[in-house]
Amino acid sequence: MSHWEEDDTFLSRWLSGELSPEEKEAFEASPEGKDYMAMMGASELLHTKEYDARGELSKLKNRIAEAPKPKAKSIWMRPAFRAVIAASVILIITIAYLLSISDTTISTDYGQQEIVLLPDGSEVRLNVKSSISYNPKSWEENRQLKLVGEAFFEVKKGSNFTVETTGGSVKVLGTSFNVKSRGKTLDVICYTGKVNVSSANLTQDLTPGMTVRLEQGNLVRSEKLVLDQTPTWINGVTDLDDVPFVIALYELQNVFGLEVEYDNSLDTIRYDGGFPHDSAEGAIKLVLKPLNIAYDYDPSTRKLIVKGLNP
Amino acid sequence: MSESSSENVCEESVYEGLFMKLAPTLRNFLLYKFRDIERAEDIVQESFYILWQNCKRVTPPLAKAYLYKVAQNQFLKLLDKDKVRDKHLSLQTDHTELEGPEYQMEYKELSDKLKLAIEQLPDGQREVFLMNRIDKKTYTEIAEVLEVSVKAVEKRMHKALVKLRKIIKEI
Repeated sequence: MSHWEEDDTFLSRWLSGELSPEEKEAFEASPEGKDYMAMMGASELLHTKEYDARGELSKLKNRIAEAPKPKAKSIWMRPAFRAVIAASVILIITIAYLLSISDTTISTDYGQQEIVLLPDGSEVRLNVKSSISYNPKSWEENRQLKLVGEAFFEVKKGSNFTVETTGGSVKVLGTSFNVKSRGKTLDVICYTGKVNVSSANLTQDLTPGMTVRLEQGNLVRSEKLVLDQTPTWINGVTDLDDVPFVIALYELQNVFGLEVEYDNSLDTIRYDGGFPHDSAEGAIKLVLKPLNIAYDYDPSTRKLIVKGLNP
Repeated sequence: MSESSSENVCEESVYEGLFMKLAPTLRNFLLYKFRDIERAEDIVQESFYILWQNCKRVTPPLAKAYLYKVAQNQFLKLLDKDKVRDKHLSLQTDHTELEGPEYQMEYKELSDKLKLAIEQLPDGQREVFLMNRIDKKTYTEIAEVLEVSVKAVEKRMHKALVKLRKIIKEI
Protein backbone atom coordinates (compact mmCIF):
# COMPACT_ATOMS: atom_id res chain seq x y z
CA MET A 1 0.00 0.00 0.00
CA SER A 2 2.76 2.37 0.84
CA HIS A 3 4.18 1.93 -2.61
CA TRP A 4 1.48 4.03 -4.26
CA GLU A 5 2.77 7.09 -2.46
CA GLU A 6 6.14 6.68 -4.08
CA ASP A 7 4.75 5.70 -7.46
CA ASP A 8 3.76 8.95 -9.17
CA THR A 9 1.40 7.36 -11.70
CA PHE A 10 -0.28 4.83 -9.42
CA LEU A 11 -3.67 6.52 -9.20
CA SER A 12 -3.72 7.12 -12.96
CA ARG A 13 -3.14 3.47 -13.64
CA TRP A 14 -5.74 2.51 -11.05
CA LEU A 15 -8.31 4.68 -12.86
CA SER A 16 -7.51 3.32 -16.30
CA GLY A 17 -7.60 -0.25 -15.03
CA GLU A 18 -3.91 -0.98 -15.52
CA LEU A 19 -3.20 -2.31 -12.02
CA SER A 20 -2.89 -6.02 -11.37
CA PRO A 21 -5.96 -7.58 -9.68
CA GLU A 22 -4.04 -7.97 -6.41
CA GLU A 23 -2.84 -4.36 -6.40
CA LYS A 24 -6.33 -3.15 -7.21
CA GLU A 25 -8.02 -5.18 -4.50
CA ALA A 26 -5.56 -4.16 -1.81
CA PHE A 27 -5.83 -0.49 -2.78
CA GLU A 28 -9.63 -0.39 -2.91
CA ALA A 29 -9.86 -2.03 0.54
CA SER A 30 -7.66 0.63 2.14
CA PRO A 31 -9.19 3.82 3.69
CA GLU A 32 -7.47 5.98 1.08
CA GLY A 33 -8.73 3.71 -1.65
CA LYS A 34 -12.29 4.13 -0.37
CA ASP A 35 -11.90 7.92 -0.41
CA TYR A 36 -10.73 7.85 -4.01
CA MET A 37 -13.51 5.51 -5.07
CA ALA A 38 -16.12 7.84 -3.57
CA MET A 39 -14.43 10.80 -5.23
CA MET A 40 -14.50 9.14 -8.63
CA GLY A 41 -18.12 8.14 -8.11
CA ALA A 42 -18.97 11.76 -7.39
CA SER A 43 -16.98 12.90 -10.42
CA GLU A 44 -19.29 10.85 -12.63
CA LEU A 45 -22.04 13.32 -11.79
CA LEU A 46 -20.14 16.35 -13.00
CA HIS A 47 -20.61 17.78 -16.43
CA THR A 48 -20.14 21.07 -18.19
CA LYS A 49 -22.98 23.34 -19.21
CA GLU A 50 -24.71 21.87 -22.21
CA TYR A 51 -23.24 22.84 -25.56
CA ASP A 52 -25.67 23.62 -28.35
CA ALA A 53 -23.59 22.21 -31.20
CA ARG A 54 -26.36 22.50 -33.82
CA GLY A 55 -27.07 26.09 -32.88
CA GLU A 56 -23.38 26.98 -32.88
CA LEU A 57 -22.94 25.34 -36.28
CA SER A 58 -25.76 27.31 -37.84
CA LYS A 59 -24.31 30.52 -36.35
CA LEU A 60 -21.00 29.62 -37.95
CA LYS A 61 -22.60 28.84 -41.29
CA ASN A 62 -24.33 32.21 -41.31
CA ARG A 63 -20.98 33.84 -40.76
CA ILE A 64 -19.39 31.86 -43.57
CA ALA A 65 -22.27 32.70 -45.88
CA GLU A 66 -21.44 36.36 -45.57
CA ALA A 67 -18.66 36.64 -48.12
CA PRO A 68 -15.30 37.23 -46.49
CA LYS A 69 -14.10 40.68 -47.34
CA PRO A 70 -10.41 41.50 -47.57
CA LYS A 71 -9.28 43.81 -44.81
CA ALA A 72 -8.74 47.43 -45.75
CA LYS A 73 -5.29 48.74 -45.06
CA SER A 74 -4.76 52.13 -43.57
CA ILE A 75 -3.69 53.92 -46.69
CA TRP A 76 -6.46 56.45 -46.44
CA MET A 77 -4.44 59.45 -45.53
CA ARG A 78 -1.81 59.30 -48.22
CA PRO A 79 -2.24 62.28 -50.59
CA ALA A 80 -2.37 60.08 -53.66
CA PHE A 81 -5.30 58.26 -52.17
CA ARG A 82 -7.22 61.44 -51.54
CA ALA A 83 -7.23 61.99 -55.28
CA VAL A 84 -8.34 58.40 -55.80
CA ILE A 85 -11.15 58.87 -53.30
CA ALA A 86 -12.28 62.08 -54.95
CA ALA A 87 -12.30 60.36 -58.32
CA SER A 88 -14.23 57.43 -56.86
CA VAL A 89 -16.87 59.69 -55.39
CA ILE A 90 -17.40 61.33 -58.77
CA LEU A 91 -17.57 57.91 -60.41
CA ILE A 92 -20.13 56.65 -57.91
CA ILE A 93 -22.32 59.73 -58.40
CA THR A 94 -22.10 59.26 -62.17
CA ILE A 95 -23.06 55.59 -61.92
CA ALA A 96 -25.95 56.43 -59.60
CA TYR A 97 -27.18 58.99 -62.12
CA LEU A 98 -26.87 56.57 -65.03
CA LEU A 99 -28.72 53.93 -63.05
CA SER A 100 -31.54 56.34 -62.30
CA ILE A 101 -32.14 57.04 -65.98
CA SER A 102 -31.55 53.47 -67.13
CA ASP A 103 -33.94 50.53 -67.27
CA THR A 104 -35.12 48.26 -64.52
CA THR A 105 -34.80 44.59 -65.46
CA ILE A 106 -36.54 41.69 -63.79
CA SER A 107 -35.68 38.18 -64.88
CA THR A 108 -36.54 34.64 -63.88
CA ASP A 109 -34.35 31.56 -63.96
CA TYR A 110 -35.13 27.96 -64.90
CA GLY A 111 -38.26 26.76 -63.13
CA GLN A 112 -38.92 30.15 -61.56
CA GLN A 113 -41.96 32.39 -62.06
CA GLU A 114 -42.37 35.92 -60.79
CA ILE A 115 -45.16 38.48 -60.40
CA VAL A 116 -44.07 42.04 -61.16
CA LEU A 117 -46.11 45.10 -60.28
CA LEU A 118 -45.47 48.00 -62.64
CA PRO A 119 -45.54 51.64 -61.44
CA ASP A 120 -49.10 52.19 -62.77
CA GLY A 121 -50.48 49.09 -61.02
CA SER A 122 -50.43 46.87 -64.09
CA GLU A 123 -49.35 43.35 -63.31
CA VAL A 124 -46.92 41.10 -65.17
CA ARG A 125 -46.56 37.42 -64.47
CA LEU A 126 -43.20 36.29 -65.78
CA ASN A 127 -42.91 32.68 -66.84
CA VAL A 128 -39.72 30.63 -66.45
CA LYS A 129 -36.43 31.89 -67.96
CA SER A 130 -37.88 35.23 -69.06
CA SER A 131 -37.19 38.88 -68.43
CA ILE A 132 -38.77 42.28 -68.77
CA SER A 133 -37.12 45.66 -68.67
CA TYR A 134 -38.60 49.12 -68.50
CA ASN A 135 -37.73 52.62 -67.44
CA PRO A 136 -39.46 53.49 -64.17
CA LYS A 137 -38.72 57.23 -64.58
CA SER A 138 -40.62 57.66 -67.80
CA TRP A 139 -43.21 54.96 -67.14
CA GLU A 140 -46.14 57.35 -66.53
CA GLU A 141 -45.73 59.04 -69.92
CA ASN A 142 -44.58 56.03 -71.86
CA ARG A 143 -45.81 52.58 -70.84
CA GLN A 144 -43.36 50.57 -72.85
CA LEU A 145 -41.40 47.49 -71.87
CA LYS A 146 -39.17 44.91 -73.48
CA LEU A 147 -39.93 41.22 -73.06
CA VAL A 148 -37.70 38.23 -73.60
CA GLY A 149 -39.54 34.95 -73.08
CA GLU A 150 -43.11 34.66 -71.90
CA ALA A 151 -45.37 36.75 -69.70
CA PHE A 152 -49.03 37.30 -68.93
CA PHE A 153 -50.11 40.94 -68.66
CA GLU A 154 -53.01 42.45 -66.80
CA VAL A 155 -52.94 46.08 -67.82
CA LYS A 156 -54.64 48.92 -65.99
CA LYS A 157 -56.65 51.27 -68.20
CA GLY A 158 -54.72 54.29 -69.39
CA SER A 159 -52.45 55.39 -72.19
CA ASN A 160 -50.93 52.97 -74.68
CA PHE A 161 -49.15 50.01 -73.20
CA THR A 162 -46.57 48.44 -75.47
CA VAL A 163 -44.65 45.19 -75.18
CA GLU A 164 -41.61 45.02 -77.45
CA THR A 165 -40.19 41.64 -78.43
CA THR A 166 -37.72 40.54 -81.06
CA GLY A 167 -40.58 39.15 -83.14
CA GLY A 168 -42.85 42.18 -83.07
CA SER A 169 -44.65 44.46 -80.66
CA VAL A 170 -47.96 44.20 -78.85
CA LYS A 171 -49.98 47.32 -78.09
CA VAL A 172 -53.02 47.58 -75.83
CA LEU A 173 -55.23 50.01 -73.96
CA GLY A 174 -56.42 48.03 -70.97
CA THR A 175 -56.61 44.30 -71.10
CA SER A 176 -55.05 40.99 -70.20
CA PHE A 177 -52.98 39.03 -72.62
CA ASN A 178 -50.17 36.53 -72.87
CA VAL A 179 -47.03 37.17 -74.90
CA LYS A 180 -44.59 34.40 -75.61
CA SER A 181 -41.45 35.21 -77.50
CA ARG A 182 -39.13 32.23 -77.71
CA GLY A 183 -36.57 32.01 -80.46
CA LYS A 184 -38.05 33.41 -83.66
CA THR A 185 -41.63 32.60 -82.69
CA LEU A 186 -44.03 35.09 -81.16
CA ASP A 187 -47.33 33.86 -79.72
CA VAL A 188 -49.91 36.34 -78.46
CA ILE A 189 -53.19 35.38 -76.84
CA CYS A 190 -55.75 38.00 -75.90
CA TYR A 191 -57.79 37.23 -72.76
CA THR A 192 -59.80 40.41 -72.24
CA GLY A 193 -60.05 43.79 -73.99
CA LYS A 194 -58.33 44.44 -77.27
CA VAL A 195 -54.75 43.85 -78.35
CA ASN A 196 -52.86 44.99 -81.37
CA VAL A 197 -49.96 42.91 -82.67
CA SER A 198 -47.62 44.42 -85.19
CA SER A 199 -44.38 43.56 -86.92
CA ALA A 200 -42.57 44.95 -89.92
CA ASN A 201 -44.92 42.99 -92.21
CA LEU A 202 -48.32 43.14 -90.58
CA THR A 203 -50.60 44.61 -87.99
CA GLN A 204 -53.54 42.76 -86.49
CA ASP A 205 -56.11 43.39 -83.77
CA LEU A 206 -57.00 40.58 -81.39
CA THR A 207 -60.28 40.29 -79.49
CA PRO A 208 -60.76 38.03 -76.43
CA GLY A 209 -60.00 34.39 -77.20
CA MET A 210 -57.96 35.18 -80.28
CA THR A 211 -54.41 34.06 -80.75
CA VAL A 212 -51.79 34.74 -83.39
CA ARG A 213 -48.43 33.23 -84.06
CA LEU A 214 -45.70 35.09 -85.87
CA GLU A 215 -42.57 33.42 -87.13
CA GLN A 216 -39.84 35.85 -88.11
CA GLY A 217 -42.42 38.60 -88.31
CA ASN A 218 -44.81 36.72 -90.62
CA LEU A 219 -48.23 35.52 -89.61
CA VAL A 220 -48.34 31.72 -89.56
CA ARG A 221 -51.50 31.18 -87.55
CA SER A 222 -54.50 33.10 -86.35
CA GLU A 223 -57.39 31.44 -84.58
CA LYS A 224 -60.08 31.68 -81.95
CA LEU A 225 -59.57 29.58 -78.80
CA VAL A 226 -61.77 28.60 -75.89
CA LEU A 227 -59.87 30.09 -72.99
CA ASP A 228 -59.69 30.07 -69.23
CA GLN A 229 -59.29 33.33 -67.35
CA THR A 230 -55.50 33.03 -67.34
CA PRO A 231 -52.90 31.00 -69.22
CA THR A 232 -52.29 27.48 -67.93
CA TRP A 233 -48.60 28.07 -67.05
CA ILE A 234 -49.67 30.34 -64.20
CA ASN A 235 -51.16 27.26 -62.56
CA GLY A 236 -48.11 25.14 -63.24
CA VAL A 237 -48.95 23.55 -66.58
CA THR A 238 -47.16 24.33 -69.82
CA ASP A 239 -49.45 24.12 -72.80
CA LEU A 240 -47.79 23.71 -76.19
CA ASP A 241 -49.86 24.18 -79.27
CA ASP A 242 -48.39 22.56 -82.36
CA VAL A 243 -44.79 23.70 -81.85
CA PRO A 244 -41.55 22.37 -83.37
CA PHE A 245 -40.02 19.61 -81.23
CA VAL A 246 -37.06 21.79 -80.36
CA ILE A 247 -39.41 24.35 -78.77
CA ALA A 248 -40.95 21.62 -76.61
CA LEU A 249 -37.44 20.64 -75.48
CA TYR A 250 -36.66 24.28 -74.83
CA GLU A 251 -39.74 24.61 -72.62
CA LEU A 252 -38.80 21.49 -70.65
CA GLN A 253 -35.35 22.92 -70.17
CA ASN A 254 -36.72 26.25 -68.97
CA VAL A 255 -39.18 24.80 -66.50
CA PHE A 256 -36.92 22.14 -64.97
CA GLY A 257 -33.46 23.59 -65.52
CA LEU A 258 -32.37 20.59 -67.55
CA GLU A 259 -29.17 20.13 -69.42
CA VAL A 260 -30.29 18.91 -72.84
CA GLU A 261 -28.19 17.08 -75.38
CA TYR A 262 -29.86 17.19 -78.77
CA ASP A 263 -28.43 17.24 -82.28
CA ASN A 264 -31.33 18.99 -84.11
CA SER A 265 -31.99 15.86 -86.18
CA LEU A 266 -35.69 15.82 -85.27
CA ASP A 267 -36.54 19.34 -86.43
CA THR A 268 -39.46 18.29 -88.59
CA ILE A 269 -41.36 16.73 -85.70
CA ARG A 270 -44.01 18.92 -84.10
CA TYR A 271 -45.49 18.64 -80.64
CA ASP A 272 -49.00 19.36 -79.52
CA GLY A 273 -49.81 18.88 -75.86
CA GLY A 274 -48.74 19.93 -72.42
CA PHE A 275 -46.95 18.96 -69.23
CA PRO A 276 -47.33 19.82 -65.51
CA HIS A 277 -44.39 21.41 -63.64
CA ASP A 278 -44.29 19.03 -60.71
CA SER A 279 -41.97 16.31 -61.99
CA ALA A 280 -39.21 16.56 -64.58
CA GLU A 281 -39.21 12.82 -65.19
CA GLY A 282 -42.97 12.71 -65.70
CA ALA A 283 -42.97 15.72 -67.98
CA ILE A 284 -40.17 14.37 -70.18
CA LYS A 285 -42.02 11.10 -70.54
CA LEU A 286 -45.23 12.91 -71.36
CA VAL A 287 -43.62 14.86 -74.19
CA LEU A 288 -41.16 12.36 -75.67
CA LYS A 289 -43.05 9.07 -75.37
CA PRO A 290 -45.99 9.99 -77.65
CA LEU A 291 -43.53 11.27 -80.23
CA ASN A 292 -41.81 7.88 -80.14
CA ILE A 293 -38.44 9.45 -79.33
CA ALA A 294 -35.79 7.49 -77.44
CA TYR A 295 -33.98 9.28 -74.61
CA ASP A 296 -31.92 8.93 -71.44
CA TYR A 297 -32.66 11.00 -68.37
CA ASP A 298 -30.53 11.12 -65.22
CA PRO A 299 -32.47 12.82 -62.38
CA SER A 300 -29.35 13.37 -60.26
CA THR A 301 -27.60 15.49 -62.88
CA ARG A 302 -30.79 16.65 -64.61
CA LYS A 303 -29.28 15.69 -67.92
CA LEU A 304 -31.52 14.71 -70.80
CA ILE A 305 -30.01 12.99 -73.79
CA VAL A 306 -32.27 12.83 -76.84
CA LYS A 307 -31.22 9.82 -78.89
CA GLY A 308 -33.55 9.88 -81.86
CA LEU A 309 -36.62 8.12 -83.12
CA ASN A 310 -37.35 4.60 -81.88
CA PRO A 311 -36.98 2.07 -84.70
CA MET B 1 -0.83 11.45 -51.93
CA SER B 2 -3.73 11.42 -54.35
CA GLU B 3 -5.86 14.37 -53.39
CA SER B 4 -9.01 13.28 -55.12
CA SER B 5 -9.36 10.10 -53.10
CA SER B 6 -9.27 11.82 -49.70
CA GLU B 7 -12.17 13.80 -48.33
CA ASN B 8 -11.96 17.54 -48.51
CA VAL B 9 -12.60 19.85 -45.55
CA CYS B 10 -14.07 22.40 -47.99
CA GLU B 11 -16.90 19.99 -48.64
CA GLU B 12 -19.85 21.07 -46.55
CA SER B 13 -20.76 17.62 -45.25
CA VAL B 14 -17.18 16.90 -44.19
CA TYR B 15 -16.86 20.29 -42.54
CA GLU B 16 -20.15 19.92 -40.67
CA GLY B 17 -19.20 16.42 -39.58
CA LEU B 18 -15.93 17.75 -38.17
CA PHE B 19 -17.80 20.47 -36.32
CA MET B 20 -20.31 18.13 -34.73
CA LYS B 21 -17.55 15.73 -33.74
CA LEU B 22 -14.88 18.13 -32.54
CA ALA B 23 -16.59 21.33 -31.41
CA PRO B 24 -18.07 20.02 -28.12
CA THR B 25 -14.78 18.65 -26.80
CA LEU B 26 -12.80 21.61 -28.12
CA ARG B 27 -15.15 23.91 -26.26
CA ASN B 28 -14.73 21.91 -23.05
CA PHE B 29 -10.97 21.84 -23.46
CA LEU B 30 -10.87 25.64 -23.79
CA LEU B 31 -13.18 25.96 -20.82
CA TYR B 32 -10.95 23.79 -18.62
CA LYS B 33 -7.88 25.63 -19.70
CA PHE B 34 -9.08 29.20 -19.53
CA ARG B 35 -12.21 29.00 -17.37
CA ASP B 36 -14.40 31.32 -19.41
CA ILE B 37 -17.31 29.54 -21.04
CA GLU B 38 -18.53 32.38 -23.25
CA ARG B 39 -15.14 33.09 -24.62
CA ALA B 40 -14.49 29.39 -25.10
CA GLU B 41 -17.53 29.18 -27.37
CA ASP B 42 -16.56 32.32 -29.25
CA ILE B 43 -13.16 30.85 -29.90
CA VAL B 44 -14.62 27.58 -31.14
CA GLN B 45 -16.52 29.70 -33.69
CA GLU B 46 -13.40 31.62 -34.60
CA SER B 47 -11.25 28.51 -34.93
CA PHE B 48 -13.71 26.73 -37.19
CA TYR B 49 -14.06 29.89 -39.24
CA ILE B 50 -10.30 29.95 -39.72
CA LEU B 51 -10.39 26.26 -40.58
CA TRP B 52 -12.96 27.05 -43.27
CA GLN B 53 -10.78 29.76 -44.75
CA ASN B 54 -7.91 27.29 -44.92
CA CYS B 55 -9.98 24.25 -45.84
CA LYS B 56 -7.99 23.60 -48.99
CA ARG B 57 -4.75 23.22 -47.07
CA VAL B 58 -5.95 21.17 -44.10
CA THR B 59 -6.89 17.55 -44.67
CA PRO B 60 -9.51 15.96 -42.38
CA PRO B 61 -7.01 13.87 -40.39
CA LEU B 62 -5.05 17.03 -39.59
CA ALA B 63 -8.08 19.14 -38.79
CA LYS B 64 -8.20 18.28 -35.10
CA ALA B 65 -4.60 19.21 -34.34
CA TYR B 66 -5.01 22.32 -36.48
CA LEU B 67 -8.12 23.43 -34.60
CA TYR B 68 -6.58 22.94 -31.16
CA LYS B 69 -3.55 24.91 -32.18
CA VAL B 70 -5.56 27.76 -33.69
CA ALA B 71 -7.94 27.83 -30.72
CA GLN B 72 -5.16 28.08 -28.16
CA ASN B 73 -3.43 30.80 -30.14
CA GLN B 74 -6.67 32.73 -30.33
CA PHE B 75 -7.14 32.45 -26.61
CA LEU B 76 -3.61 33.52 -25.82
CA LYS B 77 -4.05 36.52 -28.09
CA LEU B 78 -7.08 37.53 -26.04
CA LEU B 79 -5.23 36.93 -22.78
CA ASP B 80 -2.62 39.44 -23.88
CA LYS B 81 -5.29 42.03 -24.57
CA ASP B 82 -7.35 41.84 -21.42
CA LYS B 83 -8.05 39.73 -18.42
CA VAL B 84 -10.20 36.67 -18.79
CA ARG B 85 -13.59 37.63 -17.42
CA ASP B 86 -15.11 34.60 -15.78
CA LYS B 87 -12.55 32.33 -14.14
CA HIS B 88 -15.16 29.73 -13.36
CA LEU B 89 -15.71 26.35 -14.87
CA SER B 90 -19.48 26.53 -14.28
CA LEU B 91 -19.57 22.77 -13.79
CA GLN B 92 -22.95 21.23 -13.13
CA THR B 93 -24.06 18.22 -11.13
CA ASP B 94 -26.31 15.61 -12.62
CA HIS B 95 -28.66 14.14 -10.01
CA THR B 96 -30.66 11.85 -12.20
CA GLU B 97 -28.04 9.19 -12.74
CA LEU B 98 -28.09 7.88 -9.18
CA GLU B 99 -30.41 5.22 -7.89
CA GLY B 100 -31.14 5.30 -4.13
CA PRO B 101 -31.82 8.55 -2.23
CA GLU B 102 -29.27 7.85 0.54
CA TYR B 103 -26.67 7.29 -2.09
CA GLN B 104 -27.70 10.51 -3.76
CA MET B 105 -27.28 12.66 -0.65
CA GLU B 106 -23.81 11.37 0.00
CA TYR B 107 -22.64 11.80 -3.58
CA LYS B 108 -24.27 15.17 -4.00
CA GLU B 109 -22.40 16.61 -1.06
CA LEU B 110 -19.19 15.09 -2.25
CA SER B 111 -19.58 16.25 -5.82
CA ASP B 112 -20.25 19.82 -4.62
CA LYS B 113 -17.01 19.68 -2.68
CA LEU B 114 -15.28 18.17 -5.67
CA LYS B 115 -16.44 21.07 -7.85
CA LEU B 116 -14.86 23.55 -5.46
CA ALA B 117 -11.69 21.49 -5.22
CA ILE B 118 -11.32 21.25 -9.00
CA GLU B 119 -11.37 25.05 -9.27
CA GLN B 120 -8.30 25.11 -7.00
CA LEU B 121 -6.21 22.67 -9.01
CA PRO B 122 -3.24 23.98 -10.97
CA ASP B 123 -4.08 24.48 -14.68
CA GLY B 124 -2.13 21.49 -15.97
CA GLN B 125 -3.72 19.06 -13.53
CA ARG B 126 -7.21 20.46 -13.91
CA GLU B 127 -7.36 20.09 -17.68
CA VAL B 128 -6.06 16.53 -17.57
CA PHE B 129 -8.48 15.53 -14.81
CA LEU B 130 -11.54 17.02 -16.55
CA MET B 131 -10.71 15.78 -20.03
CA ASN B 132 -10.42 12.30 -18.61
CA ARG B 133 -13.42 12.41 -16.25
CA ILE B 134 -15.92 14.47 -18.24
CA ASP B 135 -14.94 13.96 -21.87
CA LYS B 136 -13.74 10.39 -21.24
CA LYS B 137 -10.50 10.95 -23.11
CA THR B 138 -7.75 8.39 -22.70
CA TYR B 139 -4.33 9.46 -21.47
CA THR B 140 -2.98 8.96 -24.98
CA GLU B 141 -5.60 11.25 -26.48
CA ILE B 142 -4.94 13.90 -23.85
CA ALA B 143 -1.20 13.63 -24.44
CA GLU B 144 -1.76 14.29 -28.16
CA VAL B 145 -3.83 17.39 -27.56
CA LEU B 146 -1.46 18.82 -24.94
CA GLU B 147 1.62 17.75 -26.89
CA VAL B 148 3.23 16.10 -23.87
CA SER B 149 4.17 12.47 -23.16
CA VAL B 150 1.63 9.93 -21.91
CA LYS B 151 3.77 9.55 -18.81
CA ALA B 152 3.45 13.28 -18.10
CA VAL B 153 -0.33 13.03 -18.38
CA GLU B 154 -0.37 10.09 -15.97
CA LYS B 155 1.72 12.03 -13.49
CA ARG B 156 -0.55 15.02 -13.68
CA MET B 157 -3.60 12.86 -13.20
CA HIS B 158 -2.09 11.15 -10.16
CA LYS B 159 -1.14 14.50 -8.65
CA ALA B 160 -4.61 15.88 -9.36
CA LEU B 161 -6.26 13.03 -7.46
CA VAL B 162 -3.94 13.35 -4.47
CA LYS B 163 -4.52 17.09 -4.37
CA LEU B 164 -8.29 16.82 -4.72
CA ARG B 165 -8.53 14.38 -1.84
CA LYS B 166 -6.46 16.70 0.32
CA ILE B 167 -8.59 19.76 -0.52
CA ILE B 168 -11.84 17.90 0.08
CA LYS B 169 -10.65 16.71 3.48
CA GLU B 170 -10.03 20.33 4.45
CA ILE B 171 -13.42 21.63 3.37
